[in-house]
Formats: sequence, C-alpha cells, structure tokens
Amino acid sequence: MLTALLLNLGDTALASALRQSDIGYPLVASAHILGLGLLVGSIITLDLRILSIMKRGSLSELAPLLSRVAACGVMLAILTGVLLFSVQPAHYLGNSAFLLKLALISLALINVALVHSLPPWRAILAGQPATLLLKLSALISLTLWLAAVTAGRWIAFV
Amino acid sequence: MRSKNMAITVISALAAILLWLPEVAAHHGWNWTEDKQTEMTGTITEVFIGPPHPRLMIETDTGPWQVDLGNPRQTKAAGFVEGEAKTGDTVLIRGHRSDNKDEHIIKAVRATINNKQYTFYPELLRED
Repeated sequence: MLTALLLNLGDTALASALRQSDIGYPLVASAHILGLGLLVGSIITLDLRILSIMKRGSLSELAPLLSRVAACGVMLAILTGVLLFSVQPAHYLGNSAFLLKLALISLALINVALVHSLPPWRAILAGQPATLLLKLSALISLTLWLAAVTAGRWIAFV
Repeated sequence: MRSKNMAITVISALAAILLWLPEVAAHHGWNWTEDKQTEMTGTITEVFIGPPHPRLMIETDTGPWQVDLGNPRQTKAAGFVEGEAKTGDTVLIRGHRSDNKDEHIIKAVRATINNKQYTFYPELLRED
C-alpha cells in the first residue's frame, strides 16, 4: 500500500519534469544540501551545548532558537528529499543505504518528539541546567543525525 | 588555549591522512574502471534516462550488468533520449568495465542500439 503510493510518486508530472529538466534536479539537490546544513549545523551546536562541550550562551535562549532553525532545515530537507526520490522511486526503495537512512531519520524524529515532551526540556527553557537524561538524548541525537547524513551519502556507493 | 591548539593539530593531521586514502568506488571519473576498452552485447531490461545518472540494466551471457551512461547532459548530447531504446532491445556497449571483477558495472563510451550509435565520450573512443 505504502510502497505502491511511493512508487506512484514517479508517475507524477513533477517527477517527469525533474527527469527531463537540465537545471531542476541540481537546483533541488542544492536546496536539499541547504536543508541539511541548517539542520545538522544547528542540531550539532545545540547538542554540544547541552552536553556542555560548548559552554557559551544560555541554553534557555539557544535551545528554542537552534531547534527552530533545525526544524526549518528538516522541513526543507524532507520536502526536497521527496522530490529527489520521485525521480526514481523503485531504485531508491531497493537501495539498502536509503532504507537505513529513512530508519535513522525516523528514530531521530522520534527522539525529537520525546525530548520536547519531557520535563527536562521545559526545565532548560526555564533556565535550569540540563539533566543527565537530556544529555543522553543529546548524545543520541548527535549519533543519529550524523549516521543519517552518512547513510544518505552512501546511497551512491551501494 | 593549549588544548585548543592541540585539538586543531589533531584534526588537521586526521584530515591530511584522509586525503591520502585511496579513492572509494564513486562512479565518477574513470579510475575505478579497467584501462582497456571492451565490448559487450546484451538485452536491455531497464532504461533510466534522468538525473543523477542515466543507466541501462542489461542481461548478458555473463549475467546482469549495469551500464553507466554519460551524465544527463552528455547523454542528451549523444542523442540518447526517451524513446531511443526500450526493454528487450539488443545493445552493443563499448566501454570500460569495473576494475572489481565481482562488480558487474560497465561505464559506456558508446552504445549501439538498432544500428544507431550513441557516443557519450567521443574524445575517449578507441577504435580497434
């Protein structure tokens, strides 16, 4: 059902246009990289600050700012990612690095949802120091996002 | 301050080592392929013309092979556009096979389908 839906993406007018255009794909791919830059740049900064590896700036100010930039980045990356995927859905669904990347992104997003609903997040917004649980989630976040970027680049090498 | 300088030194050293590592098999350029140009005949099982990389999948006497064509611009310049080939067509590929014998990938310099030639890399074509 889901697979059929994903495969159908390849039959859309937009996918067809992307396959034929000389500049469409490189432009969308550039926007995808911009999304990754915003996402990973801000999330690494925030995670390292939560882990106290970086010490400057107050978490109560940095956390909402950086997580919002990361949210914009991830939305841009997902939007452009769907377009890049639509060019040849069957090819990507058969690529193990791509499937691994999707699994890693799903785990990372679950981590985001969990962290933002837990009391330690509200505590740092209120100016309190990061708890051990929050530091652990920052470490998980760092690992998952970096692994997702690596798996993504690996798509071209399997 | 000292530990910061130390960190920068370590990172620079790691970066320098990485630069020396042999290139992994990115299917760009030619240094992952054999030097000699070979020919291969097969039946097309899949045609993909589009970004990031146009390719054919073919069935040959030695099993299934992936044929990497030029990049989208080069492939179009060679005259190989949608409709030029379909599944079931016989194709003669002239190109360079992967250096790795286990990897059934050939990078095409020229493809011949229905007596029509599509040359992706005219400057690299070697005639026997």
